Amino acid sequence: MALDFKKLLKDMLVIAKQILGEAWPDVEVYVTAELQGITDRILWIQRELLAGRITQQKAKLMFDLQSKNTKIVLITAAGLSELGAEKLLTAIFKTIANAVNEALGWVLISLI
Amino acid sequence: MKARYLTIPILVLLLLAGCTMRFVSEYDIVTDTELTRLTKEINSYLIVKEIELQGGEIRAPDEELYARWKSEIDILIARAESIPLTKLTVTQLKLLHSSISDLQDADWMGFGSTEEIEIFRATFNSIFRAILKFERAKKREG
Repeated sequence: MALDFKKLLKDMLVIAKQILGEAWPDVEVYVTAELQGITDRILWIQRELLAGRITQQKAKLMFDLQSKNTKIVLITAAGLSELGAEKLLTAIFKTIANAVNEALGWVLISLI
Repeated sequence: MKARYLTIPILVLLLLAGCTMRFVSEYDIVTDTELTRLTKEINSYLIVKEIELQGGEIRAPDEELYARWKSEIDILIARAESIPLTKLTVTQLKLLHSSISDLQDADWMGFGSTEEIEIFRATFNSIFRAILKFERAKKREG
């Protein structure tokens, strides 16, 4: 049975969106483009396998490689969202430090 | 009494306010440089394979080259493991190592067409782009 590639991409994007939560808008363009590329390559592998131009063994290897590619892309997206959270918290703590220091008139909290 | 309950959270908040939050390791120029070089090497290797295939005479896989690539990634993994907060990068590098083994296996099976080699090139470009994008995002302001 032929795979529905539009559905596959859509399903992958839904999962990515769920995992990344609030960070999704920041990584949406990057993740969508990369997952589109991976889906295109899976489509190519399936087409070549069905046409008998690549062996089952080669197709399995190539599918495995696409799976690793997907994991690496999603790890990058997760990492970027962690960096975003880090930036947000640092900005909040900086605001607290500045407010406290300003209220006291001397530096009680210096950012390290 | 109420004031005492408030003292601890305020102190914790003040202590945290003095810290810069870190969930992810610092940017590592060695990882960036080495991966950029590997990207070029693997891409060039596959372009040569395409040219050989077009010429009808494809050489056996360069085992020495594969061994060097894998050994260089092993060194990057060991380096990353010695740095705090690098769990995500270590996982990516291990997946890259395994992907190179896949390429090596495919090379031994033989590439059937230049289109097939292009699929491998596009895959490795995507893999390296992802790892490098994350590494370079670790460069913080200030």
